[in-house]
Amino acid sequence: MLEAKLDAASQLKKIVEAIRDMLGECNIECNETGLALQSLDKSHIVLVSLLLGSDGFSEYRCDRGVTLGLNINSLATVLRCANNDDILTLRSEDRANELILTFEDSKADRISEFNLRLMDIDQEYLAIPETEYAATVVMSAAVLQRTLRDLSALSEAVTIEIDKEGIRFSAEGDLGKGSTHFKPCVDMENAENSINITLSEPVSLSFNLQYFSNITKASSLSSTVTLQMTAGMPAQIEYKLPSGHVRYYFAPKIEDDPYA
Amino acid sequence: MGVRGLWKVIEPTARPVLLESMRGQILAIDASIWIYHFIKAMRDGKGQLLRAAHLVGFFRRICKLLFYEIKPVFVFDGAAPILKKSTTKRRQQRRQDCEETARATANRLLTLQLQRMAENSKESQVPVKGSIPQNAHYLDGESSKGITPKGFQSLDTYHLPEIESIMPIQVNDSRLLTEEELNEYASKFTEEARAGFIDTATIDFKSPEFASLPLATQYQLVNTARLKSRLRMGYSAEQLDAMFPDSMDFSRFQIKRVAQRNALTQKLMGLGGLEEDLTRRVSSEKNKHYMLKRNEKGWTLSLENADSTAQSESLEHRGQNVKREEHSDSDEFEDVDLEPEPNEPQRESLATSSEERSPDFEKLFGFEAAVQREKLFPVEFSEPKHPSSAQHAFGHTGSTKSGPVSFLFSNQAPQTKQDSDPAKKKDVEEPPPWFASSDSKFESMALTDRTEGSLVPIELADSIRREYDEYRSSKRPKVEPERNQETETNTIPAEDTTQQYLNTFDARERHNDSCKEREPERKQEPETNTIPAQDTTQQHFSTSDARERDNGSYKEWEPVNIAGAIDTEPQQSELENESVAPKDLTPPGPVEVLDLTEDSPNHSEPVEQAETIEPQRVEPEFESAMTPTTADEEHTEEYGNKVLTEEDIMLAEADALAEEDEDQDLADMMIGEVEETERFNKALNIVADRAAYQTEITTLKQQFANQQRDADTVTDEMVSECQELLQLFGIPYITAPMEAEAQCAELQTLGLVDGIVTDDGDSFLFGEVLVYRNMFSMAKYVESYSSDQINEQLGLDRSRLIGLAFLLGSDYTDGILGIGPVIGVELLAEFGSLEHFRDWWSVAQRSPTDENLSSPFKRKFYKRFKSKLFLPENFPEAAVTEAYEHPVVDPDDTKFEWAPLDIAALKAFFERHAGWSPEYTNDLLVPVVEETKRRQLVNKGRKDQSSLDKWIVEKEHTRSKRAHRATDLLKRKR
Repeated sequence: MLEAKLDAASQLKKIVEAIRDMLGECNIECNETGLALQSLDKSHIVLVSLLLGSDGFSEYRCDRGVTLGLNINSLATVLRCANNDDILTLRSEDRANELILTFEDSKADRISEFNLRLMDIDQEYLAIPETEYAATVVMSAAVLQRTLRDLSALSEAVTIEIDKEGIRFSAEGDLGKGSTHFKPCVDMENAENSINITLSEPVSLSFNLQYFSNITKASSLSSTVTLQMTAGMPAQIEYKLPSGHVRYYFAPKIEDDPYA
Repeated sequence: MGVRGLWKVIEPTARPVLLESMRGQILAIDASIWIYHFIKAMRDGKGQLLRAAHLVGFFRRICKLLFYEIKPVFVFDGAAPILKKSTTKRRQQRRQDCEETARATANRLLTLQLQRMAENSKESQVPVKGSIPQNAHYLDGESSKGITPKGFQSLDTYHLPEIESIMPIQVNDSRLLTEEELNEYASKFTEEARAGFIDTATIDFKSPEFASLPLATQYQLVNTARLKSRLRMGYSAEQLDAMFPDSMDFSRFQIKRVAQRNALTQKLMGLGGLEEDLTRRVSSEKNKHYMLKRNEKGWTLSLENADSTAQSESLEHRGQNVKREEHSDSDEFEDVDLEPEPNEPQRESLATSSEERSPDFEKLFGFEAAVQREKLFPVEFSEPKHPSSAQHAFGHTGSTKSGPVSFLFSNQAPQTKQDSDPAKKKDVEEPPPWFASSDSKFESMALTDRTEGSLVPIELADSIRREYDEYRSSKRPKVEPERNQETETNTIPAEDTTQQYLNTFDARERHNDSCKEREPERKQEPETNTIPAQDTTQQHFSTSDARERDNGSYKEWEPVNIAGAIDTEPQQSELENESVAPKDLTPPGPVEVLDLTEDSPNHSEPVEQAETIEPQRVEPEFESAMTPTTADEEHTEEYGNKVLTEEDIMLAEADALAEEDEDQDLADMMIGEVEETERFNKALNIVADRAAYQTEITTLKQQFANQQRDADTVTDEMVSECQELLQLFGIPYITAPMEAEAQCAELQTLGLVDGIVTDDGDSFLFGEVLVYRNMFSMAKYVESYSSDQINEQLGLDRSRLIGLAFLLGSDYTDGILGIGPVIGVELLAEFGSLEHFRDWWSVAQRSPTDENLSSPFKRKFYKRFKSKLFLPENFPEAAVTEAYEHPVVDPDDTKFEWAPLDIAALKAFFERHAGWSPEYTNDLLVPVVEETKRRQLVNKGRKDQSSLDKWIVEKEHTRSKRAHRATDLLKRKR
């Protein structure tokens, strides 16, 4: 039995919108601590890990673990029916095969109820080995999104180099090449504009810009983004939620290929 | 291969896979099965293994893998496990059987071809009516018995002895070619001939093989040969000098070449349908000289233009013949040779006269017919005839030797002969005017008249003229008996003179008769002419051999004479007209000419006919009309005494012969008709039979190809060549300690590969695997099978699959006869394990109680197998289970690495092994490399994109409840 209430439906709407492009069908595991979603995209390049802590809900009750097999796109379609400031309630009975979503407009006394059919999804539950990242960069989510969007005009790939000097985004394509360099800085007025770099050793990785821009759709969830990278390892990109996070594990491009 | 019918069982779990989605995957490839496939599949049209089939196949498939950016790891078979060896042994046994049957098929093929050849030869014999085929005696039972090797008793006509040695079979063996292929071969040959590749000198233009070629090809070849014969073979004059130090040798060589060319030309004309024209045209050429020359072999008569090789040849032949007969002919020849010597200028005139004179007979012969028609041939002619014949006889006796010879070679008018011979040899007093007269005779007819005039009273000019004509014409047939006499004189000298006289008389009489006969039945004339002549010959020659030879030479000689006659006729007649017209004598010129022209072809044709018919004719005549040799002798004696009666008899005989001939002709026609019908029917049958043979041969060939295919095996050499190729491609490969499938499964277990590419289902028994099937089949989707899916969907785990192998049969075990995939799975579902099944069966088979046959399956199974199935004590052989569960594999978990391919080395490799030019290899290879590079650029974002898979560890295998339930249900169903 799950019963979770959010004061503003927009909270969930944003999250679902941010991940829907990458995921199809996936299981949401519910337990006492909250909702958790972990799924690989079809090409196994990006792993999306979502955690919505019970604290984030105005009301949360989950006696037993429940697996909600959902098509994320279907969920997004239903959520569009909710106004941003609607009170949203998620309910699912034990062993039930549906998820009931209720949108309440407190002012107009309107109550909408949607039943989403649940699916049996044969999904592996994955775990990412915890690692110490060589470089951690905290920066404005909007700036990152903008920078990557600019470079995507030039190429399909972006190379991110992090060293003591700062973080450098560069791309090279048929048109030419371009790069943006950010020096570490502290903006006292707008804390989100600060660029904080923690570094144990310099890192340089290339990423697919298409996937990266999908990831940065989560920029609406948080003002800052944390990039964590180690050479030859997937990068971890995290957007903090009031309670919980949206985390992406992003496989880099391979630099050398025997057939190239 | 693999577990029989396993794919059928697990097919429902197949998932179609797009090749594009397999990009970057590492796949283990069971290569031993590849080579096996290539050897079986890559055949040419005749079922022969293509050169370097395995390498070409590898190349193609590697290119495909590279194109889809799959990283292959090739696994080759190592040593076969002991268990497999027994199965392999059985397979080899099967293969050997195949080889043996292939040999048997080859034998059958040969037998069939022989049969067809026999039919063909039979067929070709049919049209040759009445003649006994040369090789007929080879086909009948008696002689064939002689040929058949000892110890072999043929059961029927086509039963052949066993061939001990292995038959060498070549692709283009003409014995095994079907009609179509033969035609193809022939057309190729024609092209070669056109291009001048074929040495025409080696071709025998007279051979039946040559005659069987299409006319166009024959023409082509003959023409080429003819053109070549003109060339000096590219030698300079100096070189030729060196080659032929003796100029005579060179001349001979040249003459030989000319003769050769002439033969070719005639052949060419004949092929072009111009043969008849040719004869006429050649003989119509003016100012031609017959030259009589002596050489080692005999005598050669040649025309100046050297176009009459055939003629001179025949004459030469004649000369040889005469020599062989050991008569005094050679002496006579010498006489002729001496003739011109005293008077050099005479020679030419004589030669000319001999040439131009001889036609006179022919012409006058025809002319006489015209005269006869005008009733200008009454009794009065007989009077002057006698003196002239007497004169002739005198001349003849006077010069018994030279006389006939001149007849022989020049067919000279007796007039000339009488004139010239005595003049030169005997009567020196005879005045030269004879010569002059004879010479001048050729210049103008008027002169001839004058000559005649000196012989006989002038007032009789007209009649004499006619008589002379008549005489000369009568002389013409006389030539034949005379010639016979020539030999006769040697054998029977006593009767010489009289017989000569009588013979001349006979001949004339006969000729007169024949002339009369000729009026109503013109065509028979040459026959009656020749036949009596032969009769005479027959009478005087006791042996048929000599007679035949004589006939032969006579025949050969005859056409020449006539041929020569025909063309001079018009001129001569014109001359005659000129001289005759002023004297208002005989029919008008134009009529004459017409007659002559009409006659001459008629005349020549029948004679030619006679020539061909003769050999057949003579024999029956000899047997039927002529009595044995003793009777002949009597006949001869009688002939001397009762000339007239003999003549009558002969004439009657001739008539009877003519009549007989008619009857014979009728009978022949009827027989011919019957034969024709038979032949036609047979031809129809043969056509049908042939079609049947063709199809049978084709099917047999197909069968043979298949059998040969099954007989081919994978050799170590092939494997090492493939491995060399892989090295050049930079693709890693390993050789399994034992089974390649087991090693593939091990590689997957070790996590070194993403999947296995194999069409062999054994891998599922060796471990938990993901198998890609139909990877290289264009017609089908690539299917992926995973052990998990099979287990989940069908409830068949590895141990149960091994159990299935026991039931269905695999590389390690024979299986149980009669158990297919369905019963096999049912059985496993029923009993769970083979041990349970074995226990149940050992009891149930003996006591089929209700208790023991509790389920419908058990009842059904019992019913079906109660008397068929006897399980061995150790039924699920532990060794087999062990072999599947713990195969001998290499547990090395070193990661594979790939190197860039070496294009230059690949070019060299394929040039060496498959005969490909470097350009060809490059053309094949470069697009693949380029395409790969292009794709890398296009899919740059994806291509070099790593996957998270290698970092993410599966935490827990969670399965949805309903999926669990579903598979449980499925499992229960099984």
